[in-house]
Amino acid sequence: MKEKNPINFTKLIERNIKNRKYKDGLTNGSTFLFSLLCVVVLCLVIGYVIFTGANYLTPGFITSNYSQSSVALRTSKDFVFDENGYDYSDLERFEDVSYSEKWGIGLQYGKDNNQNNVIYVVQISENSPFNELVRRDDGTNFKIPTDMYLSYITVQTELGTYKTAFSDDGIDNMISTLDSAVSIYDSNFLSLGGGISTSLITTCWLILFTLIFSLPLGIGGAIYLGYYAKDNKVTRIIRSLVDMSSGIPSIIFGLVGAAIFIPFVGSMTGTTGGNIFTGALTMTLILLPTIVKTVEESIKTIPKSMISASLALGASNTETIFKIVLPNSIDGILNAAILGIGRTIGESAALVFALGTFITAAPSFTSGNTTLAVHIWYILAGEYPAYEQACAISIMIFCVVVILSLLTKLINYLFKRKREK
Amino acid sequence: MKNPFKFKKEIVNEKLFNNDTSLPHSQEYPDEEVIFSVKNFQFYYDNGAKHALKDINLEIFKRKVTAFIGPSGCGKSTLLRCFNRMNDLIDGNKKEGEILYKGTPIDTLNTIQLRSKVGMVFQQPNPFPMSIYNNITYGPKCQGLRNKKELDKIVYESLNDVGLYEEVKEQISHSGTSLSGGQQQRLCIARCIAMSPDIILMDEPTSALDPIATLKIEELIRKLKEKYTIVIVTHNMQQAARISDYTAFFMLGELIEFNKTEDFFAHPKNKKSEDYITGKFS
Ligand SMILES: Nc1ncnc2c1ncn2[C@@H]1O[C@H](COP(=O)(O)OP(=O)(O)OP(=O)(O)O)[C@@H](O)[C@H]1O
Ligand SMILES: [Mg+2]
Repeated sequence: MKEKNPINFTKLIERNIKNRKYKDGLTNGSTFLFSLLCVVVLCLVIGYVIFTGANYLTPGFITSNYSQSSVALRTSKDFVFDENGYDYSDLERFEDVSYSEKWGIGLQYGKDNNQNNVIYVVQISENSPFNELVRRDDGTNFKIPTDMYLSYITVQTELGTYKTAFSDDGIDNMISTLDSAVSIYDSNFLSLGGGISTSLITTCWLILFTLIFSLPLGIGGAIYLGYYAKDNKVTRIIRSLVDMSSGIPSIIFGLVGAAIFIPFVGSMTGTTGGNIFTGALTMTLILLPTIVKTVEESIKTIPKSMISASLALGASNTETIFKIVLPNSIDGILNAAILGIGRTIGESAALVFALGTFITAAPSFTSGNTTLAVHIWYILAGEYPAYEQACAISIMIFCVVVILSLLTKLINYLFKRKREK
Repeated sequence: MKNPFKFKKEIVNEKLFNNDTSLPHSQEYPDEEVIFSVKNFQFYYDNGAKHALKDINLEIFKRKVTAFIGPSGCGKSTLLRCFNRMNDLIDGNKKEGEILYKGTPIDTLNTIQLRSKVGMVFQQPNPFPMSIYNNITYGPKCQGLRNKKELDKIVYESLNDVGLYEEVKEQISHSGTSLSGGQQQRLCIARCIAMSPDIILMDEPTSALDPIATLKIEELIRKLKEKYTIVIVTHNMQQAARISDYTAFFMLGELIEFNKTEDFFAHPKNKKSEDYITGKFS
């Protein structure tokens, strides 16, 4: 046998080392660059949303209705201003409140949901004629609500003329107008409006019902696939169907929801059109593949020996599932729930059909509603897209998602600790 | 101590020298009470493609330790898993012949009934990731036992029987997985005897353990023999010799020899057994 020429690695390596250094540097550099780019883009998106929306995310925005309600009040027709004056000594005085000494009320600036200055009546003396204001439409007494601001006021002066002061003209103007008045001819109180309370509550209901429908079904499917199913053709077909359906665009599920669930729920409850239940059923369709896969994966990580041990001890399949399989796949179940909640919060296309785009005054189980994501769609779709409010809602959604994921971590941690004990 | 029956058998069929297990051993060992009898049993994996057990005839005697030995892949574990029908869980299994548990074919018994009488200890210690207490009460609770006092008693007795009580009495609410390997295996045995089974099947229970833990388990098996019937699969011939009363030697899915352990190791009846014992192959 001829002896082979030994390869001179030292030389080869020396020749190669420069080349390899460049290549390494290039790969490292580009990897770093791309990850940096990703981080920057992500920061920009989140930064933009927070920067634009943060100011608009006020308690008023969250708790108020989208539609604005108004009430017009006046002093009753037979009201005569008491020339001797009223006793307003019960009125506590604050630095940042302006007072009308004549009418015994305190006014203060606040913000509406567009961040404009508006005037609130924050204090009313017990003896103030403002307590006896009546509605212009039906003459009934009306207590001035604290969550409504005063948009304008028209008064009758001592000379008998009418004078109007607008919220925009400031508190000082409002007070001097009031001080010249002998009766209130018209005053218009407005609720904040533009708020998201209904959408928020609807979203919560939708999440609840979606989880109630989808978790049992999804966990059941996962138990079937991960525990019972034999590895045969049927199982493989089911599995690939599940995989495929998680890639179907949600608008198609929205279509199915609208075409099947709306008539179905309608025939049982007598509702017409989308409502929270049709929305939840549609979301269930969307979520099922994800839930089945997530839970199945975590069932698959349970050691076979543990299941064998349970069965060998004379436990039935049901007992094994409830005592071994489910407790040990709790992280998968929680993850599935969190994914489901996140998806439900973020879903818009399917819900436009299946739930509706009606921003109502109060959440309703029987008629169309809207979730936060569809709310965003709604306020951006109009003639004057309200980007700031949309960003404010986005911040809320971010927060919910972050809180949810922290919650899973916490629950996982607690479960793990309990198990280790 | 010649058995007239055996004599007759040899005359009837010369071939029986290699297959002298075709007749019930109880006739060879009339003092023993039979718990399991395996009759003309065949077992196949993969829808019949893999013939894992070939015409097995064997009996398991009450309150005796029977060791299954033989080269790797000869079907020891397969036969063991047939006794509590754990093989039923494997897709594509097929069996012929029958196994009788105290005279009843096991296939006519409910698996839950059968498995609560036929306990199993696995090769790898596999305690549940729950407290020691719950590990032991798992089986009894599944059978519907709820009485706290009785459960406490079972936990105490089972742990005591496996010699674990003194070691873990302070940490009875700690997870079973926090114990050492040997302790875990003894916990698994305790979990098994908490059901007060008739038989304990053990598949190489000490192969994952260190020598000291192994000795403890062996000692335990010798003690448990007073109350339970034990079938143990082992790769360790010394172990078989140390702890078992009867030895069954398998090769390529066939039962080659069933004999009293002393006799098996001192003067095996079969040439293959002798080769195996003397280490001619493994
Ligand atoms: N689940 C299974 N599917 C298919 N074939 C199997 C399965 N389990 C075991 N076998 C085959 O059956 C034969 C007997 O296996 P078994 O596990 O009973 O052997 P064993 O004697 O216990 O071996 P070891 O000493 O290595 O544990 C082997 O050839 C093995 O390949
Ligand atoms: Mg084996």
